[in-house]
Amino acid sequence: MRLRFVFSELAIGLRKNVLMMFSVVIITAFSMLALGIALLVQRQVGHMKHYWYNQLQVSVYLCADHSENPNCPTAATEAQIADVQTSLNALRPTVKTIDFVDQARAYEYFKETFKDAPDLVKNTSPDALPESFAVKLADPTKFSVVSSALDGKPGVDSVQDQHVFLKKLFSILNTFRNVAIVTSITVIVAAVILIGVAVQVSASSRRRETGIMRLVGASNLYIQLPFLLEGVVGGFVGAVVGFGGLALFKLALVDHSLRSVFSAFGSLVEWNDVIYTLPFIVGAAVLISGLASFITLRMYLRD
Amino acid sequence: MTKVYPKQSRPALNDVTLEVDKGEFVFLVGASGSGKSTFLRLVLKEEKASHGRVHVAGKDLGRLSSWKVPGLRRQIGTVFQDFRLLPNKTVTQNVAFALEVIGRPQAQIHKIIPEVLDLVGLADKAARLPGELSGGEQQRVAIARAFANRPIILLADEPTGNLDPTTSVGIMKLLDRINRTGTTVVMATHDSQIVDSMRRRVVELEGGELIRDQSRGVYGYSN
Repeated sequence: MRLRFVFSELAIGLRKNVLMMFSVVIITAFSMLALGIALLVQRQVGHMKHYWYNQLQVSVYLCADHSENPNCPTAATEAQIADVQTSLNALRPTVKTIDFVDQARAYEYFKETFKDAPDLVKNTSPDALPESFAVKLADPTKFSVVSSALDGKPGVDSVQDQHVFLKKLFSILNTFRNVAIVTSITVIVAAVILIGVAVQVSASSRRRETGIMRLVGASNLYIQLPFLLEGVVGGFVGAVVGFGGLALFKLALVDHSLRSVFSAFGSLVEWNDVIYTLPFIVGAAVLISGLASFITLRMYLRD
Repeated sequence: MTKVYPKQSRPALNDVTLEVDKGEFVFLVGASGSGKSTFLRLVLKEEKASHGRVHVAGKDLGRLSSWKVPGLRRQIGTVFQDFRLLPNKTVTQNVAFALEVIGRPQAQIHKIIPEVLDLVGLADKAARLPGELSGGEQQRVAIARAFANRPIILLADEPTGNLDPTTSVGIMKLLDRINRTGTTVVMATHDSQIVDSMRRRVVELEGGELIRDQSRGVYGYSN
């Protein structure tokens, strides 16, 4: 196998077919960008699950003054609080830890959570915040054990599970990911067709050469490899451009816009997550373009 | 052997039995559509015989797996009426191309090209493009390309079809010289003058049937 020949033929093909290759690069870039976004969202969900399943807690809010809940005529009494504590203790080992959050600590959390809204913090006095038990579960999905034991108990205002809220968030993210996957597949189909056509155009524009090659006994590999590589180069460059687009997506959208909004929900995707998608993007693009070219050549350059 | 092309009732070659020995020079004559080109395509394994067997260079083509076809074609040089040169490559590059694509090392190619261009008498035009050459010279380039890999068989499909009689004589002399190196030459032609003057074996086809096989023959009985 004389590589010099293959590469010089490849260079001729790319030069002759430059516009076609340009469109192959663009469409592959878009398909790989969509694939990269899908992968990033997947990573994001993974991060959040990891983060939240360690932090996830059930909050048992106790009655405070001025509560609107009919179960709370007055603030929870010492006896009621002790009673709740006993009930929670009885739920071990499903309940892993029990942490009493008094008004001072609740206020600290409140200040931390709403640090971007100083007016709200200023207008809220610690007295307005209910005391609560922060309960961590051995298995975060076993929320109902706690709520059924404590809902409606004297002194208990409400039992809130962050898991419910997370489920909604995850379902939004999953929808977003699925849209990215469907988009990616659609554009990949278009890319496959375009690569096939581009390779066919290139082979057809050099039919004279391939005809002579077949006649003098060049092997199929020799005849087809330059065209195959042409498709693969288009796919590879497209993948690199698409990855560039993904990096831009991370910089512009994730870092610039989403970080401030979503920082309360746990860590966002980082650069190592973006790098993680690179082998998938490049691998998928090379595989897809190689396969599209191979099949086209199989059908088109018969001996 | 018999060859029937798809969607055609009449066979292009009908039960033709023909043996060509190593080192022979054979003219294949007959009107257009008589099956000459089909015969050459069967020898190159560009087509498969519908019935019967084709043996080329000791190989049964019916049993030759497709990945071995390039190896067969390396033993066969082919020349056409329309030369089939690459217009953007020089004479040297055209010949080199045929050797490069079968993986011959550059050093060998550098050695072969002057030899083969000398043989066809184009040593002084090595750097020309095909468009700068006469028809006869272009056909010489095509012959140089076909012969560069020292094939044991040379197939020529109307090689003088586009050339004037004087030029044609030059091409025939060249094919004769190649034949004398031991290369089997099979030439399909319409050119009665050439066939008559060469006095070699003549095989005539008509409507796909072999109607004459004559050693030291002429183009037609009437001549």
